[in-house]
Amino acid sequence: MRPHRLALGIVLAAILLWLAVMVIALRALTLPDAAIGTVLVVFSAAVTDAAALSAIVDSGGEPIRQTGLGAAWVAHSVSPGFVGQLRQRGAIAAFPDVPFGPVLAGCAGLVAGDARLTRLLLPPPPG
Amino acid sequence: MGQMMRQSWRTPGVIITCGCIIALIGFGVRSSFGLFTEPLSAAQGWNRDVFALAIALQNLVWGLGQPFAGALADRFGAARTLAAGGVAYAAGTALTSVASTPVALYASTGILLGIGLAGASFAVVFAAFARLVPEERRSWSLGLATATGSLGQFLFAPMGQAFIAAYGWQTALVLLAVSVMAIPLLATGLAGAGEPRDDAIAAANRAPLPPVAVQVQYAFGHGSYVLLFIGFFVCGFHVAFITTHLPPYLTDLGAGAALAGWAIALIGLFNVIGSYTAGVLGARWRKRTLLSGIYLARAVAFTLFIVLPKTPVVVLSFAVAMGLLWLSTVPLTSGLVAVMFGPRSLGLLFGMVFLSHQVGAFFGVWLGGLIYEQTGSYDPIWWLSAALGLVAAALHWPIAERPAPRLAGATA
Repeated sequence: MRPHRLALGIVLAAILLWLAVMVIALRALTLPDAAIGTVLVVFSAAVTDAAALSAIVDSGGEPIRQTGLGAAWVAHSVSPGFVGQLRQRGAIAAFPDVPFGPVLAGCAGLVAGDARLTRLLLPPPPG
Repeated sequence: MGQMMRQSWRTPGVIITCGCIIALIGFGVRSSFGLFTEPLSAAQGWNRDVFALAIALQNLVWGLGQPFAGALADRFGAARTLAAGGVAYAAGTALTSVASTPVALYASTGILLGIGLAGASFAVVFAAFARLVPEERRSWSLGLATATGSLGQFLFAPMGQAFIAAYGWQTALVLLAVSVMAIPLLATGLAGAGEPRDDAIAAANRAPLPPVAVQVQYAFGHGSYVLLFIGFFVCGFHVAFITTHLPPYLTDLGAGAALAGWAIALIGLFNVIGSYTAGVLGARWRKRTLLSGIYLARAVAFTLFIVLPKTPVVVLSFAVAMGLLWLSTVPLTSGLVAVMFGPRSLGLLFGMVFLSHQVGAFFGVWLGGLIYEQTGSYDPIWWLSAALGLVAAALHWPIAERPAPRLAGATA
């Protein structure tokens, strides 16, 4: 048994399986062309920030923020067919504005942002 | 290694792969529960404190149940314990999706899931590895199991978010329950824990197992175990404090969501590397020395983080450092328990140490919030964390890394 090779194999297999499941889930999440509202729009990594901004504005949308991934933007529009317009201008996909992101968990798997637990353990505020 | 499992499909590679995937699923699914707070509470019309109490109850049951699950694994085999725990874990997850009253939620998410987590936890996987993997590979395998568990936390959170968004929170819970059902199947790869072929391990596993109360009494009569028990409290304190309070702390500093997100991602990513490396190093160097070094490094990292300006470079460097030091204590601490008391008692006695960790986690979360509310600053708790790091480094230094005297004859 080659330990490091086995370790690498387990990690790679887990990541590949995860990618497959994520592709299925993300396909189910993809918005139709007619969708409007606040969306997470993904461009190719080769698209510059200026080009992405211009694509959003030209599609009748308003850029809200750029995500940490750079090529993904949160944008909003009530123009009919907003998502279809984005696709015509080079967007790879558009999703609902779901809070994708890493979470932090310790040995107990307690998730960051779960500060409600803290609130529960604290004495009630005065008054 | 070659002598081990000669005539069985349960080769060391199969054993380690099955155990690691169990750790990955067990850790991963658990870390996605926080994502359900909002959709579940909104759908049921409950205050968020209902779900929070269920999670708090779950942690309590898990922490208290871990020594019992470990004792069952030591006595009846890790595979059976993991299989039963996996069924309870999956049932609790699935039942959470249909819990329509707070009491039903406390019973499913709180109690049943807490029992399941104890039975299907990495501590039980460690017990299996300690019994089945030769001593020269033990530390590495414990590090790998911790690393894959850490990877599970990293992978399952976005998957849980995607499931909730794509299929709704109830279906997402059922899908997670289905993935947990893989644990009982994978546990078959760890069956036969009592009859490995490796002579040294077989000798250790044939040693008579004293009653639980006697084992616990032995352990707490051994000074090095007590030091380890207290030291792991500090690990729980650090990890739970940072997990809960780092994101709001960074937000208070005006770091921005993107920087906070990258910091969290870096901790998760480097945690995988740190856990694995700790396991590898634990096979070559003294575990107690490594543990002292890890806690000392944490103290230094906390101090630098407090005194340096919180530029993006400092925040991200702190995240990398904490990631490397995050769960790297786990393979070394569990490995030390195995050295002191042998593989047969690891489930119970590491479970006890884990209970200390959970108590530390409670105080890390609680004191972080309490001190912030009273002083309006996280600085005092950062300083306390640095001081505790120094205390833990000092506590681990004198640990005797050899079999405990009264059980010396029963260890591998």
